[in-house]
Amino acid sequence: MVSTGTDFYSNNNNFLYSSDEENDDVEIMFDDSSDESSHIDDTSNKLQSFLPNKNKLEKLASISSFSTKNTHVLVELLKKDKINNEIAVSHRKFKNKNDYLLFPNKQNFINYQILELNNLLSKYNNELTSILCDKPDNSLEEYKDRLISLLATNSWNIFQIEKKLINLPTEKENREDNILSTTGLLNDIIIINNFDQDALDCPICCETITDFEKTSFIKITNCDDSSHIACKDCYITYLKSNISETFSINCIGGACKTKISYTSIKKFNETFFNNLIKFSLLQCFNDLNNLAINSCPEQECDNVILTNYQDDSIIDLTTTVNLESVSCLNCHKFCLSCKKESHSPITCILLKKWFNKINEGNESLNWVLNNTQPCPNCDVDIEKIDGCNHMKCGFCKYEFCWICNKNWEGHGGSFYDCMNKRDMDNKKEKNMQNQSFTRFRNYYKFFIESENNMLLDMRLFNNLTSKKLNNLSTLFGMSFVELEFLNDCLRELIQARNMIKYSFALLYFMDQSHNLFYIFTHNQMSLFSKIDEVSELLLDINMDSTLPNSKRDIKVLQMKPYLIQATSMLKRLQQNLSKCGQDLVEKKLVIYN
Amino acid sequence: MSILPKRIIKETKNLIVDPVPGMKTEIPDEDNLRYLTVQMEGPGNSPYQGGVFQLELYLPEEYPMEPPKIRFLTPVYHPNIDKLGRICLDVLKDHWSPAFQIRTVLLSIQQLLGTPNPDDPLLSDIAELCKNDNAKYCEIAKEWTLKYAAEKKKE
Repeated sequence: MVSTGTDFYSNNNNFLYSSDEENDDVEIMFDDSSDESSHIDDTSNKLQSFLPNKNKLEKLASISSFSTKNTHVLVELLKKDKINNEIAVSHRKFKNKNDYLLFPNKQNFINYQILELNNLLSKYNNELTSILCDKPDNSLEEYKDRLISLLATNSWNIFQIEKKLINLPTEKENREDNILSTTGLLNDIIIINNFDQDALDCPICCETITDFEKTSFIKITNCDDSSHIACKDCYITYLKSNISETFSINCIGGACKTKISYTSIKKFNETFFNNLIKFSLLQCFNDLNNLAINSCPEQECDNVILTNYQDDSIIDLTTTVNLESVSCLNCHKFCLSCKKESHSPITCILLKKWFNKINEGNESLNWVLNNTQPCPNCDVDIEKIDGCNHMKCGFCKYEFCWICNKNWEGHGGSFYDCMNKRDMDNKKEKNMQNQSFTRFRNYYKFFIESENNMLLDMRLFNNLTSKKLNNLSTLFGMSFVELEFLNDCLRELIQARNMIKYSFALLYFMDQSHNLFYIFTHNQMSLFSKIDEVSELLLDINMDSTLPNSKRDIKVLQMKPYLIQATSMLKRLQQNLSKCGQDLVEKKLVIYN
Repeated sequence: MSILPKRIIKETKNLIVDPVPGMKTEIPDEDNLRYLTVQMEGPGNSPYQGGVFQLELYLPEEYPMEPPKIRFLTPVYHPNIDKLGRICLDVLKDHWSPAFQIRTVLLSIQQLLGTPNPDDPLLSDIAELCKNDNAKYCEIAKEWTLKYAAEKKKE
């Protein structure tokens, strides 16, 4: 079953807030474009589990205008409203316009662009040349090198160079020369082998040199101090030892501030030049505060991510929301601002708090960490070794849900409602002091659970891809391209699991009184149930040992259309969830302490 | 032991024959010219005046491409010198140039004693005192100089 009507968040879908500019009222409306009544029933069933209580709905109804059909849905809901939700959503929240603008103008977005490292230099060349001037010798190798040295000394930031340009006299002719001279990068290394004296001591190694033909001296042309020289050997060692430590090398003289230009270093030794460029790039990549240029954190990936971020830009990184899940060309997903694994929908700051919370040393959490759980029927300890929450006791064959420990019967399609209910139940039981801890413990449990599930799925991934793909391609003579769907599906599944994991962390910090919280949880549940559906299916393919290998393989092929659909579904649900999370953060519906 | 570069031989000899004013350099082991000890007089018009400070100096394999390793053996109360005698000085770190010599480094250290740099400190508590309550800082530094650096002189 593919439940298309359940994602409330996508732009083109059913459930939208919209602000009415004129009377400042809130409007909740359902998009009338999807008409199937079954879908509405489905929706109302889902809604029931998380929508706020009766009062809230009545209030909303009184201030809102609904289409007739939608009113009908709401009335149904009110009738069915069995859950006595204690959290009242205050009406005050809706008075502030910004609170309910679902899609405010996206100031907090950073645009980024992904490039291969090889294309980086040519991209820069083009952009820089357009900023500088049209030189007849644009194509010349030396001109290019000059541009690169310009970049390397300006954090690879074109904005920075532009800023410097503004402050310079406006002669169009030699603009790039002008900037280079402000950075002191127009020198040449000259090799001297004519001296008036018969013998000269190298100031570095103190060897006396008489044969200038054999051992020459090196000096920087722009350095006025005639004593700032060294024999060739010493100068080379000096350059070598400095190249791995800095990207701007000074003249060898003590405390001399004259810089040696990249172009002259290139003329002198090409490897030195390349190393300098590499070092300069690396320096920028390692600088976590410099978001303008980044490298993919994956070890074997050379891709570069350029953004429109500037040092003094107004973009506030604490509320910038689209960086947690950047995917590079090679399908590596990561967070651009902390350079770690993608953790959408939670932000870096909150994630740090979350991990701090975990590390606070809650001894009592150890049992949560424990992977075993007694069978609710026969008390045999059960370890969960696969991703699905549908457990079957190996001893008494009792089927139960790993999360709520109750009989699997009745869990059906929307079984993950049990998490919500359990959370609520616990809240009622515990007193106020325990509440926060209980809440944390619950979310932490889900967090760990999702992580384990993800790891287990990864194992499945490895199993399936290596063996299955080989089998299939030999059995049916299919190319790997045709079988790509399996890989795609598994990858999406793992990414979705990852997102679910971090969404639990975000849930903990959320202001639960806001309506968006319910929308978020709902999105989460839709994603979760989809994940388990797909995961169970894939598991089936992998584990059903009663079938001979070839039959299982055919099963995979039969499932192809479904899996492809599921993949795109997972992708969309993920987008919805992350968008919802972004909104929560943007609207500051998150409790930071 | 590898053959000593001509530079090290020349420099160490020079230090002994033509010592830096206010400093006495010794080579404890004639076979190891890379290890030197220095007795440095505290600079005038400073709380370290009158004290004689012991330093040890080691010239690493890469010298002169790498800076020499120097530390105080005598305890010094100074924002840029820590309890182990390690010195925070730009010339000994990123600003090192092979054109510098032991002589210039020693002079820089002596200068550092006279003009502490609390804006780039190794020990923040001393730096704070040095900035906000200079009189108190001078008092303690003098006390330390008398306690640790003066004894060596008597010996």
